Amino acid sequence: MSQPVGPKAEHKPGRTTFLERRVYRRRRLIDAIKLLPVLGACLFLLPALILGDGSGSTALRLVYFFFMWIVLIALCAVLVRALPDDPDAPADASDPAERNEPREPAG
Amino acid sequence: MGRSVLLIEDEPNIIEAISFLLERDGWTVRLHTEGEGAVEAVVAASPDVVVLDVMLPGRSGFDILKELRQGAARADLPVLMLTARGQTKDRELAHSYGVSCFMTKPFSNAEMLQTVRDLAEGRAPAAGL
Amino acid sequence: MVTFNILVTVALAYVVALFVIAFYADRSARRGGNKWLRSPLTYTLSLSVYCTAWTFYGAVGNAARSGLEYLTIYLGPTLVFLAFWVLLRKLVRIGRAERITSIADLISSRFGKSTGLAVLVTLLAVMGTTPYIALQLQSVALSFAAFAPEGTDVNATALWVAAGLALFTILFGTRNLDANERHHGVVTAIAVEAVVKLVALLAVGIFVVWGVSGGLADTLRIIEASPVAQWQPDAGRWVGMTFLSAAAVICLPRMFQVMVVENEDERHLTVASWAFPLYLLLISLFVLPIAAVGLAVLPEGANPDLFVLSLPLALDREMLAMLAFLGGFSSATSMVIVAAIALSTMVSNHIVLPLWLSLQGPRATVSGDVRGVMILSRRVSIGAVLALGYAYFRVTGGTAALASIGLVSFAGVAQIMPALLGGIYWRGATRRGALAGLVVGFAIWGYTLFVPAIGLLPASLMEAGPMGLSWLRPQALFGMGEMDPLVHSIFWSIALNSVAFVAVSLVTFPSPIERLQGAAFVHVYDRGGGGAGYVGGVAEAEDLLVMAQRLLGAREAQALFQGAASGQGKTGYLPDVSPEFVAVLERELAGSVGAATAHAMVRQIDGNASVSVQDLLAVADESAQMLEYSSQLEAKSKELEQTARQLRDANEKLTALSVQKDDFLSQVSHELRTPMTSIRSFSEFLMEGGLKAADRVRYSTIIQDESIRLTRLLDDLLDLSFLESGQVVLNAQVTALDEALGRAIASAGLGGLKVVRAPGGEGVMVHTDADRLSQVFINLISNARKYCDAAAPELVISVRRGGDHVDIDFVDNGAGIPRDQQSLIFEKFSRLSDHSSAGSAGLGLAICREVMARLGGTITYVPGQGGAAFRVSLPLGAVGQDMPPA
Repeated sequence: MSQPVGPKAEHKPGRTTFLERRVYRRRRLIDAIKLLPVLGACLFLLPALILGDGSGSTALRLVYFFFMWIVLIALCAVLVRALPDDPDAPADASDPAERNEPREPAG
Repeated sequence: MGRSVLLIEDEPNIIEAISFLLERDGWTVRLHTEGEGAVEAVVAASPDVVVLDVMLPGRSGFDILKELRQGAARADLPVLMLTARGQTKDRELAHSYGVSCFMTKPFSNAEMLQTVRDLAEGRAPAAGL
Repeated sequence: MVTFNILVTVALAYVVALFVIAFYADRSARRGGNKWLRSPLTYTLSLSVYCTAWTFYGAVGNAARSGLEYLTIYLGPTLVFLAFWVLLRKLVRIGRAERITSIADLISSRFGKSTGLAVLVTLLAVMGTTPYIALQLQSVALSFAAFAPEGTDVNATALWVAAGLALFTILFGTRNLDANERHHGVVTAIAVEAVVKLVALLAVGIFVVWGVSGGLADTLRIIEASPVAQWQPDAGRWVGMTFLSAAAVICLPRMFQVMVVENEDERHLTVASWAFPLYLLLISLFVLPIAAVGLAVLPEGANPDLFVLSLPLALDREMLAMLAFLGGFSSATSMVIVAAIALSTMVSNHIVLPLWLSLQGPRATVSGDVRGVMILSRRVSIGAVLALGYAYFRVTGGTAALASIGLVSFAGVAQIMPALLGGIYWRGATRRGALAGLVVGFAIWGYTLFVPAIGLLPASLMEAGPMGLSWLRPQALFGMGEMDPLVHSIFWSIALNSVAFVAVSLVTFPSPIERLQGAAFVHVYDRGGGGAGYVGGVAEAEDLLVMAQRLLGAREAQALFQGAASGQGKTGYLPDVSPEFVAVLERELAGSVGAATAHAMVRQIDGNASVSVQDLLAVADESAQMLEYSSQLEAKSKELEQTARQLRDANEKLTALSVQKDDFLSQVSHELRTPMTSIRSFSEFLMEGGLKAADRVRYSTIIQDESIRLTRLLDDLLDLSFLESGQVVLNAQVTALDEALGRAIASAGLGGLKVVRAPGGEGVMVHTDADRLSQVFINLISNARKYCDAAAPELVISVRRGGDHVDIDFVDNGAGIPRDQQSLIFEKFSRLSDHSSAGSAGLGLAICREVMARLGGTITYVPGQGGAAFRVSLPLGAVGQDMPPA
């Protein structure tokens, strides 16, 4: 999987090194969101790889997985809720009402 | 042998009027009612005078006149042009193509008859120049 | 005791409720919607088609056999949704931007709109989904059987279920051929079913933990003591299955349908990113407890795949069992419905339609009614998919083959993943690469997993390999025999699939369209409104309009074309056929027929695809680095181009008008002098006397007729100058449009013309000057009578209400009006050249235009309708600016 490092930001000439605080926050939040699946993969897959041969308790594992699961979900919910609306978002693609308007059969 | 006129015109009532007028005077009137094939009709009928309307379906009277004047066969044939548009530039155009006489509708019967007679006998028509 | 009959009644009532919900959701969506319908919650719940009966019943069975392993099926999708920012957002953005209709469409569209790839992915999807549908039918049949007295025919139950599902899917899945392929009714019903199955499973779980085992701690103790605790994680299987379920959640046709195609708003993903994992967590929360308690409480040999149902039944909780039954029923039906819609879209767009088109010959797109064929082929495909599922169930039902098919299906559709991910992240991926990867992966999956799973390979071949080549044994390729067969198959198929995909992509060279599409997909976030489209030659706008009308419907197509024309600074319905416009049109069409077909159709119309444009595109592709600079230039030159076009249009029109103004005087002169000539001539004959009586009468009649003609012409001229100067007084009243039309038809005088009134618009009342409106209608009808050159002239009048106005269309079956004259017909005396023999002075349409302007409406010529077509558009409320509404 290749990286989708906001190509918009890279191509635009005249971007300053010092971003507005709000934009900077937003970028770091997105970084955190991008790292979520990596964290998830570590939490979900590593125990199985490391403890593969062990004779651990199933009940304990059950509690472990569900606990980590809910933690990840909560983390994700907090992060996306903190994310402000994208100021650069293209209006055409994210405004379904406008795009679909002529499609709606006349009432 | 009587003298003949080829009438190229598309308005039925005007055709009827001119035919009645000329036939009463002893002319043979032949008829063609559209722009297409008018030149061929002239060649085939070989009339003494051609009466040609300007606004015809398919082809304008000016075109027909131009082709008649360029054709070697009857380049000197007298042609009387009729128009209902009555614009000076039409008159000038007709003369530049070599029309014999140019008349604006409506015309008086006497005027029409006299003009056709004059043209057939090679006189300069009294009216319409 | 819950009898079988009560159960059937409850199930039927539930189904009826779903029909009602779907019906109202569809209706309210069509009326402009309902907030709930478009909420992220509905979107998240609809994603739960991931959890089928295989989850609802099978997860417990799986847990009873393999302990915690069932979790991997839900952890994989959780990881994918946590990765939504990188992956799903891009998929959804691409899906919307390119108007993707299915996963086959996505792959085909990305790799140069290739029909071959679309067919391959469609086949893969059908092969992977059919057994899965069979599994759902079996689970419903078995759950019925759990309540039924001995000897009830479960096959009949399955057949009825399949038939009912086909009916539901056809009703709500193909109701309208909406270009964006969204089915509000279905999605809402699915969301409701998602709630039912979650509530059912939670209820059984809560009952088991707190009702049977006496609390959390006790439940954990029971789990520790149960056989399920003997399971120890196998790293390979754990990782392999997590990977597999992650791939499946993206690639399964039904998931792609709800996740990408039915997505209303990209922002819904941000909610689904945590809410859908939460749903999965809740669904799997009580699975292990139910399995452990079931094993402890129920007699030995009870089928763990039915614990969710048999546990409450055994403990005499009949209402709970009923709820569990409905939960399982919901899981099965929602999967089948969405899968059938997704598959039928693919089969119809990528197999049936292209076949039909090629059978129809080169210009089919213009002459055939594609819309009807499309809906029919969707419906037939849905029936066929369900019939196939039922047949599969009848053949393999009850065998272990069916029970294990869930993972086999997952592994099959996972073969699409390399091409999918490569396609959206790597511009270098090529069509041949994708084809090679898919074929290799598909073949290995078939050989190592699918065929062995359905038991088609002889035991000797399984053990010794084909022709004794032991390194080719289906479950031990290259001697890797110690691997779990599933992990073995996933490993080899995905690994070799990816290798083939990458290697072939590296050595082949993509066509310009592929490169264009590649750039559009990979850089989807960069894209403004402009599209990656391509047109080889010059298609006639009118031909394209005719085709678009067949596919999108007349109104939508006309709106699209009109919008595009005004975007170019033109008026009317025919924009310039610029590459941008063709790209937009192609995307719109792709929404109904898929990218490959839409592309083929547009290319069919434009005929001669020229090499030079492709070359140009290749160059443009090459210079992507200069995009930033050139796009500024492009914007400027576009602006200039638009201004120039406007100027050119205005200039042409001015020139034409000035010529016309000159002509106007000549024309008036001609129209007045011609009758006067006859009048003067004949009146002179009459004055001379000596005519026959018959001639006298005749000549007098001619004089009278010509005088009337003169009078009428003068009336028209005066009327027109009145209208133009704005001195006309309107007499507005409320009139029934029907009556006005009827009166006009009666007084127009039809001659040989047949007038057909299309149904619709009955009872439309307009507040307007009825006499003036009738004048317009009469004019249009007499025009059709005079100029329609068909052997059996016919005029179709149709009325349609749209918002605040009503449109009345007059369409005849003659030759229509040539392109170059369409913009002049409403000018004075613009009688068309080849009609000049007719007697009209050509003021009629000019008067119509003025009248309509005074009435606050418009009259326009609508091209591409087969004959001459005029549209009179009238506001429903007021009449003109000087007329306050009553």
